[in-house]
Amino acid sequence: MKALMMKDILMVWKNMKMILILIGVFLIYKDMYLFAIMMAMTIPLSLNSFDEYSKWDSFSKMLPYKVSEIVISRYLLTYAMVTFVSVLTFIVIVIKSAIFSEAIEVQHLISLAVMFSGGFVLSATNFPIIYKLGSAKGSLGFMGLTFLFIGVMSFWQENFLSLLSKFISSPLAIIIAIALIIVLNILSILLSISINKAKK
Amino acid sequence: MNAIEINNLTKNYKDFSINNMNFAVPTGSIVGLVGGNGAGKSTTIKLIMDTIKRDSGSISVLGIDNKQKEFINAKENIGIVLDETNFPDMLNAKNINSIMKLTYKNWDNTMFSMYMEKFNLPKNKPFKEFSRGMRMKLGIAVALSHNAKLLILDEATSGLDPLIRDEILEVFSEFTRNEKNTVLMSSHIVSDLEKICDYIAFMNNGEIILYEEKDVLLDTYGVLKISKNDLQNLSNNAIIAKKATSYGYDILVKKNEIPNNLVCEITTLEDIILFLAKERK
Repeated sequence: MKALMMKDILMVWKNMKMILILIGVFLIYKDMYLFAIMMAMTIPLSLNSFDEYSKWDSFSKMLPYKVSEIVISRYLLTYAMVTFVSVLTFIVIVIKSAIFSEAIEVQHLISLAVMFSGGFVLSATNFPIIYKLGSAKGSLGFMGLTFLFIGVMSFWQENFLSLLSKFISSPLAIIIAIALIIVLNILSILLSISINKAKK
Repeated sequence: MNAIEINNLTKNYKDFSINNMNFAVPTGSIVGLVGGNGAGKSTTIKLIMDTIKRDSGSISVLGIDNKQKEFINAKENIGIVLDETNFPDMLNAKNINSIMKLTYKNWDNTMFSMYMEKFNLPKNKPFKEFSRGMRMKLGIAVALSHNAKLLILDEATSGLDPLIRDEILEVFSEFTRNEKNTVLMSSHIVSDLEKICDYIAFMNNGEIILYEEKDVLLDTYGVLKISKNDLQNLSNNAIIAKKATSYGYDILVKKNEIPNNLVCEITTLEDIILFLAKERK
């Protein structure tokens, strides 16, 4: 697994500097945090395409890696990217509020929490589609689900925010939501492993 | 002891199948798997490495059934080179070294560096700037740098110029100087296989139609150029395959079954394989 993570990190660093710069730009501009996290989520998707293009995906199955390691390493990279960008976003919010002597807006923090959780939910829903349909068709699925997520959030923004305010005031609801996201991801990982095994 | 043993292997696709294949690769030998495009060589290799599911039969590699969980450990002792070396384009040899160090318990940095120098490969150049020859050499360097006992090579020399091919074949020969090491090498370049293989397996349409020691093949079979009249002097047992020509026939024969007054041409492995593929009785 360490080898696969190392390979992915090297590829991210070498091939996606432009995306990393874009993430930085999105972080600086107000209300564009969502795009930064979205960009972070496209990185593992691009890695899947590169693997298919270079045929590393079939070669790696001949090396001493378990199918589960190949799948889990890609999930872990996505979680790491989403967490990394979320932490960066938080730091940017804090720095900006310090520079402009403004209080940190709770709404920003709520949005960030939603984006962070959304990143995990979208990982869980997208990876099985990508593994089942391949990177090209899977990307369309990824875009579709992501825009659906953003669309619903934007359309119901006011209701959504008031619902969220109520939601975050209940610790039990937060615990249940976190538990659901964890269960969803575990199920998603198991499904992705079984899709990859069935591909043989 | 066999490094690879395949028993009653069956794999069916819509338009192609491997049917009841039996095949063994003796430890310490170099076995050449030869056949045209679509003969089933790559499918056989994928089945050996368990990257595709077989329908029935059994395959053991280095003494371990490839369906067992332990096969993942056996892969530590297998060096693999595919026809298109499959490292991501933006990585370089230095990166590959770092990744393989974490992949193989027995990864040998020194050996990898030695092969990099021997093959004259740059360490910092991205893989995408490598020529096909350089890519294959890098794949071979990786396959040889973790103390593998078995090398599986799928068209590792195809598309390379003769000088590089010769250099690479020499490396494979060197590898089997240790009698515990084995090579299974698929190719459609028969002259490469003739140079280094101990055994030749000829595949056609998913079937191994000939599996024999190379020297036995060259000793047993010969090509005879004869007139139509001389053909009557040959027994049916002697004729393996024949081809009509403008002066009579070219015939692949069993040398010990032909009359003493007939003399075979100098026959290469390629002649034998071509006859078997095209003109089999």
